[in-house]
Amino acid sequence: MNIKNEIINKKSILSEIVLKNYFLILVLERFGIELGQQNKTVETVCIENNISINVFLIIANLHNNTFYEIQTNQLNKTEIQTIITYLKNSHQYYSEEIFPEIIENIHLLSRKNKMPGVSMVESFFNQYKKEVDRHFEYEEDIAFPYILSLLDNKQNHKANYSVKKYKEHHDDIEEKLDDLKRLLVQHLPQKNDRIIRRKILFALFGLEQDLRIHAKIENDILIPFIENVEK
Amino acid sequence: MKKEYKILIIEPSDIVTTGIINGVSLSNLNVTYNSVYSLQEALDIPHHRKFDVILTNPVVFNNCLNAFNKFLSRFAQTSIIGLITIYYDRDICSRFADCIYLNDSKQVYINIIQKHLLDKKNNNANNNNEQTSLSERERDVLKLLVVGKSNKEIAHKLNISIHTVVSHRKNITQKLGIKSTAAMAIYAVANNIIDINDNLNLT
Repeated sequence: MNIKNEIINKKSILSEIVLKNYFLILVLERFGIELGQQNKTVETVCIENNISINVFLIIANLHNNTFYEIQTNQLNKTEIQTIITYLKNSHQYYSEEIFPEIIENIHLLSRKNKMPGVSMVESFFNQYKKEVDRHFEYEEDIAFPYILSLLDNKQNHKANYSVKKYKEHHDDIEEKLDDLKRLLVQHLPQKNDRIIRRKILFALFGLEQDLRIHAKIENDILIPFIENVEK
Repeated sequence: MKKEYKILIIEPSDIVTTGIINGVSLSNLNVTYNSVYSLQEALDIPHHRKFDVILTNPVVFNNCLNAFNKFLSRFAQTSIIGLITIYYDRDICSRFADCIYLNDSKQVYINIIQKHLLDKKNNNANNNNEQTSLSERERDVLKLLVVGKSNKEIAHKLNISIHTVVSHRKNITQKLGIKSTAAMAIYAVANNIIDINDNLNLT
């Protein structure tokens, strides 16, 4: 995705911002907002869909500009819940759509290209996927419930939760993905696999971009929120 | 024509900026400057603009480690020198490539800046040669690494110190651009450094 510096605000026309950055189609999906909203503004669509304008603007702007400064101090309980729902929906998108698609293509890759090492990419990605799944499980089973319990002033999940672990997961996930891109772009000789390799790489770059923002939402919104409440 | 070096100065004080520029003009390097007052202005600089050296006052990060990390990653390719005008956290100072203190003499800070301007040129030249392939020793380390041997075991087997193993590992990562052992194993098989039937460590 290109860096698009334009800041989205509540008076922005929803369809215009999507036409400028197609990644926002995914953002709408995860908020449960449908396309075909004609000339409605972000504000109107958010109100109609019962979504916090504040949260929508933070997440949409993060997708538009990686350096977007997040103002988190005024997020309330419902807004944190909205963010968690958003993250859960994106987990589902990875697990049910993106990963199966990449796995299928990597499988095809190793059938087309018989050069040494290529067949190992499949187990590399499976291992990577396992790690990501574990991280998602950790979030859904431990981190998110803990955050929700903080919202209700109950603290019964704390025992298993650690901010440090949460952050480390993100680093590992990013590192393996980087390695895989590097192998496919630089190190593994191409043979009979031009189209399939390109498809895999496009999916990986898209995934990377999306996961980076995903991690940013967690690191810069949820973790400061937890640290703030724990104080 | 003499090579033109580009320096970015991020410093809220005009007096300090002017002082540095005057000082460096005494060296016989051909330098052009960009100076900004804040971190945001520095981050707003278009990505295609490259600098040879950046001088920054840590005060612009306003004690915010996040902003500092973001800055370091944005300019990861550039030598960043701290411009220390008052006392700062040692951790922050230690992450700069070098530090210039307000009471450093002209000669000291000119030397530091010059060192990094010239260093960078040399590094680039080296990198181009190095990145082509691994050394014999690095291949030996890689072979053992991808079958799951620890640093200690590798050191013992190759009869070198653990410190040397760590430094080989660092070089391998730098040359190949990959960090995980599992990805290194794929590289090693693809380049016939090891056989796919060896007992590979794929986690």
